[in-house]
Amino acid sequence: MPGLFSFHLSVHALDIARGGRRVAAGLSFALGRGEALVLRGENGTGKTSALRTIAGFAAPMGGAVTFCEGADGPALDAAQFRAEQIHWLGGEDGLADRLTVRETGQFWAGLFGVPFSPSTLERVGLDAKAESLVGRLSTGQRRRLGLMRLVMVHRALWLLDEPLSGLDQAGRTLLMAAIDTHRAQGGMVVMASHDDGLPNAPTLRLIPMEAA
Amino acid sequence: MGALAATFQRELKLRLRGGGWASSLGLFIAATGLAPLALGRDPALLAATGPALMWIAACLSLLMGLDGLYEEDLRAGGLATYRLTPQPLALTILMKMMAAWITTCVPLIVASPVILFAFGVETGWVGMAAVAMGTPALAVLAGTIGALCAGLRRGSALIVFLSFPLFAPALVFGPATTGDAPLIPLLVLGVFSLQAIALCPIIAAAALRTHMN
Repeated sequence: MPGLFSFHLSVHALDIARGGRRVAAGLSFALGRGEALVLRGENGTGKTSALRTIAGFAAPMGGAVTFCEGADGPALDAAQFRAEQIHWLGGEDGLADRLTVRETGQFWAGLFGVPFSPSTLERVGLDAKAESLVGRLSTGQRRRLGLMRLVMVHRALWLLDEPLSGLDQAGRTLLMAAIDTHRAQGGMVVMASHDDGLPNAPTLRLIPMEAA
Repeated sequence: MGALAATFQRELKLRLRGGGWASSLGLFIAATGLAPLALGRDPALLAATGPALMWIAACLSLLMGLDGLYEEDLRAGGLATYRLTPQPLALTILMKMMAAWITTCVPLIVASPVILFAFGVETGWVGMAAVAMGTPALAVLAGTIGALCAGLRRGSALIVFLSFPLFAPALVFGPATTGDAPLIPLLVLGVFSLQAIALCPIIAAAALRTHMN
């Protein structure tokens, strides 16, 4: 089984900024192998900004994000960990409208150095759409295509921003199955969601977020 | 397939399908083709002004063709994917700029000797070499200013105003290559392009990182 991860993420007293203003203060949590966590809160409480800070897109105003090998291993180089072990799936899916579905998959395969097989398209239910332009896909189909990057490239930490939005029931089942497989391999997931409809909710840790 | 090759292929496909190169080439041919109507029929005047007109038209049409290099990737999250790879962002941007140069500038390079000969300029091939050596700098500079202005309202207007002072070396030395001593202006254009290629992707990467923050 590829990608048996043993990384840990710890977030300590993180002060999160958006556009130079503090939106959340003192966020702390630790995440071990196979664990998943949901940042739950109203709009504007800094959920997305927290994910962006962990991904390294935004700098924190205070506190630290640390990635470790093993539970008490030495801290890893954050820039390298982000470049090699983090998947980001934001409200947008990282797609280009003028590529076809297949070309998008081939581009990701080349970019991340993994083989691309048409069965990957089947796994997210897009095999019939392989030659369609991404710009012609529906919202739910775009979300499935975004999810394909996560399942075709093995990376330890998934950062998902409102992953359920736009997905139908089958899509949600698909996403939750992908998350379960990922966690079974030792992967970690941090999700931001205001949605109460998360299936398997008991196995997910919830961290409520409030406006600072 | 390597990551760089995959990046280049994606960007090339996006540029080709975007159609910016076609409007750029169209403007270039229209501007240089219509200029003689306004200038009149004096062959000496046409031969003397042809190279200068061609370079001005090239600069203007490049600004049109190189617009929107980063907008979709910023808005749709493509840059987030690029940033979470071991490939340095500056190299990713260099691939974008190369794809932009190939789709927008290579058609201009091909068209340039035809235009110069039509104006009665005898050294049309030297003029073509000059366009080939000078346009990499123009494409890379326009791409960098595009990164600085990405996502701003009226960004394309800003690009036009900010580009022109930076394009000045090409406008000075480009037309000079069709004169009696083409070697020095040609080399200056080459140096102009090389230093732009060396510096600009790094500046553009920093600008986009700041923009995403």
